[in-house]
Amino acid sequence: MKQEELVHKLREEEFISAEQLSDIEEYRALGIFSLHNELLFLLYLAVLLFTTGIGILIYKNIDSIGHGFILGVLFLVTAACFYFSFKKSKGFSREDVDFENPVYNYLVLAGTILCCIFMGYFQFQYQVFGANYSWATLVSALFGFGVAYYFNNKSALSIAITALATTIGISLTPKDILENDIYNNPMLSYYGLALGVLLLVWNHYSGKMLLKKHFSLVFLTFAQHLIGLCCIAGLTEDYWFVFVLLMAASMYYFYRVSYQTKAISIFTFTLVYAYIGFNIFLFRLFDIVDLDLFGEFIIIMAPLYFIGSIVGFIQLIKQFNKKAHDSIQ
Amino acid sequence: MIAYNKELLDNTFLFNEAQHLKNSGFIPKNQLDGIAAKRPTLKNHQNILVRIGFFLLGSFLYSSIAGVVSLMTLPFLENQYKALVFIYAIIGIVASEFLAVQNFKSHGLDDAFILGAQGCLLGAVGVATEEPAVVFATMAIVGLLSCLRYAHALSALIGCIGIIGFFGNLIVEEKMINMSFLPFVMLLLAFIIYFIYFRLISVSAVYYKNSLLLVQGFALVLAYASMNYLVVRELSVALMDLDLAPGSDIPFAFVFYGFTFLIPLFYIFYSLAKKDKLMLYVGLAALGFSFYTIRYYYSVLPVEIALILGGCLLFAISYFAISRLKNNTSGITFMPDRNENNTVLSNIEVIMANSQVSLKGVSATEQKMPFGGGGFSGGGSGGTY
Repeated sequence: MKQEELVHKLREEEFISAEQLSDIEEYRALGIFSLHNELLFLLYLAVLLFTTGIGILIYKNIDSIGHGFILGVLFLVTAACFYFSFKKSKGFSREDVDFENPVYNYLVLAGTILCCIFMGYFQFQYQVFGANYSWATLVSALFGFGVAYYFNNKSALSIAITALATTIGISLTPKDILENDIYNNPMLSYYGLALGVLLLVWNHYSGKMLLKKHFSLVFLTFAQHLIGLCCIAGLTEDYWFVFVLLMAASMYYFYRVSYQTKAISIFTFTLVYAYIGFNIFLFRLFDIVDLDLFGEFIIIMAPLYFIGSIVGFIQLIKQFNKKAHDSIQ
Repeated sequence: MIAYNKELLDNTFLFNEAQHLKNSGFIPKNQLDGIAAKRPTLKNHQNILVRIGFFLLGSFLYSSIAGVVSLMTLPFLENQYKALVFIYAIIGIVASEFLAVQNFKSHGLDDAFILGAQGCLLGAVGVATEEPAVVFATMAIVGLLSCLRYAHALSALIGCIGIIGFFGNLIVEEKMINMSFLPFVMLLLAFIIYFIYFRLISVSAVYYKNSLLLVQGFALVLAYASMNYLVVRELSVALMDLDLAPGSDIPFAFVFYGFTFLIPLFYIFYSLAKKDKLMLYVGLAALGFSFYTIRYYYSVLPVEIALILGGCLLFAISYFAISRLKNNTSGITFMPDRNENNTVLSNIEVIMANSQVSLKGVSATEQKMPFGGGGFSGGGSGGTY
């Protein structure tokens, strides 16, 4: 069977009606080659290139004479970004509103990133907030939240949450997942858990208040990774049994939430974190009773253990897909 | 040739098409449910995260089985450890066949065993013969056979790598012809692979569509890479021990300079004319790499100015394109396509955006060092104000 035959086959078997087939063929005959996503992504890349360039420019000129001038110009650029965005914005709304022209979303993003760069620079140069750098990132985070909620911008929201995590000393960028301070500094696990819970509480509250409900997935994703990573870090520490309970409770929570939101990404990562946590737990148990005693036994049992896990996961996924599929209209 | 139950395989693709139609809003959900109820499909996962998860689990299973086999057989094998790798490969092949009979396709588990078996087989051939040319030849054959038998797209990629590895090895190690012709041989191979793709795409069954797309992408990337100045020059230096004095250049340098820009531009314009997304993506990425190539040897501008100007230029071009295409209702347009999922890229944007604040991570860690930035910033403010 070929690709083009599929839709005719569906008609042949009377799975779709003749009108539906003609609708489909009519649409396909338009020969639409949409560059919507691609052009927006290029805009996004343009913003990233520009702001990265600005970041390096400021960093390089931080001690030179012209930096006041550079800063002045950049302040004007940022102001211009927000001026145009405000002009075109439909104003604050609790719903998912968008600019008529999606280009402005990227102006907002550029403005946000530039503003964060300024904030960091001012703190670095003039120590506006005293010796504590956390205040500067906290202000950036609050600013980011403001922008995200006013302009309905998820990228700004993501920046704001990351800045908030940076404030307490945790780096949440994808490239830092494996080499993170959390693993060396037990205190950070507690901070991270607290922030994760805070995000969940805020998400719950927003859901109740009908405030930007479509931001929910962003909050949940960040909270899940923050809590998951902190629990894993905690499991390797001395007080690991506390984290076994925390991990179990939080993953049960995310399991429930993933069913409510039908978000398969949340569901999958719940399984991933729970499985990693469970395996660390098993190893710690073996560790207590001396691993050497049954090293060979473990190797021989391993395939059975993995087959068991696979069968279990297949069942869980099947169940989830069925629930999620049934509820979609 | 194909390992799966033909009827279930057809059903799977029919169902996927119906699902696609439902997502584009052409048919309602109850119709899709009707198809699902009447037509059982193969066990597959369309969500990439789930598939990767099962791929990892499958890999754990495979390696744990290999571990048990080693534990059991090692005392009897003595110095025959080479045979052990063959046993691993046989286990992988048997497991792949078993999963195919059990109707697993594109599930993640089957990917682990199909790829793992090929990896072990190549390892085994490598250990037994210690001849790269034989390994590459095996790679080409095994990859293409797996692609045919399991309609497995990544295997097609392995096969293609095997083919170019084989010819590359003949030229670089066995010195079949002068090494300065290597880029042109690679370009020729890219043409041949693309031609094969081109002949097959219109006649092949839908099962092989993804494999063929991967082959196309491979041919496009290979053609560009074989003519890219940076790649050719660095490979010449590495492979031929070429010592380039200032002012001298690699042979045929002007050809490579030209193609470094002509090929991406050709890809972009040709793909717009032919409405070929994959070629467009390769073209855009290649153009980006071409600019990097030039900057690598001639940094006319400091990097920050280049980034700022590049960002502005890219913004202007995209903005211009958007305003030009905004009102087209057919052909090339800015309107979202019903058939496409518009959330994937925006999700990537959200994830990537947070990498942008890593600058502040630096300043946050500095607070832990007592003398982090104090003296430095003091000097700065003294100089200016």
